Amino acid sequence: MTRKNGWVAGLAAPVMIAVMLLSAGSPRVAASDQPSAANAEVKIDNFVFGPQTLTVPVGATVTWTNKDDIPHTTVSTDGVFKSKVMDTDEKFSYTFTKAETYSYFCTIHPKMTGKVVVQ
Amino acid sequence: MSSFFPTRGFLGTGATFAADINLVVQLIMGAALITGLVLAKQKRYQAHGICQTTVLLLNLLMIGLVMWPSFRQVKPSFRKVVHNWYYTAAAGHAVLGITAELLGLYIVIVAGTDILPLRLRFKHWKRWMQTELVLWFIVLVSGVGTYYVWYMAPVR
Repeated sequence: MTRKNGWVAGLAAPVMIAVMLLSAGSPRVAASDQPSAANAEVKIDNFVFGPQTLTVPVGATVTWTNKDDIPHTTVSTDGVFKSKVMDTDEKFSYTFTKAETYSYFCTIHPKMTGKVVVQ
Repeated sequence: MSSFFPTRGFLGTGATFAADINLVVQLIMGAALITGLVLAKQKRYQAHGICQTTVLLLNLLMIGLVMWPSFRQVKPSFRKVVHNWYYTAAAGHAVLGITAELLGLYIVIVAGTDILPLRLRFKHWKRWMQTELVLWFIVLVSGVGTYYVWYMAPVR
């Protein structure tokens, strides 16, 4: 290694280490907490809506898919949207046009709850 | 589910309000039927008739308001009933329950009215009523089982 190359490597190494440390130290944000693309998905699996809290931009369409082998529904607590009973692999979609937090639940199993945050 | 009721139940099991109310009412009706049996043993037949008929009619109301709408909502196909306990429990309970309710109505009609012709009336009162009582308690147990499968087992 020449003296010049060694100097560049000596400078680059701490920069790379600093970048790695910075990225490692930055707070990890769950995907569900960030406004995601215009289309988002919620899976109903083992009696749980996943993710339980989904953040989407205004105009986003959220699709719920029932992955359980028993029926579920998706109904907002304030009556904004209401799915029919979804069988296995059936889907329900709703487009959110207003920034608000929408709480929803399954009417057959009311312990199953979720939230869509529209920003 | 019927919109007469709020959504969340009050027994803390994850069931709907309607299912919780139904469970409590069914258990009370079971106790009332035992009371009716005691009344018959004491030869207080009029009180016995009123007690058992009230239970039968109240159950008809619970079927119409809670159980039938719940069952119809999930629309179980034959394939699902055979392969999935969730549906098997409900379908089994429905078949037994409808049988018990119809048999009960038949007994009440024969015992309390003269509508049916003689050839359609039974004579062995005790045997018919005992059969109905045993069937009713089998239905009660299967109903508690259905409640467990639908609401308690999934959230354990």
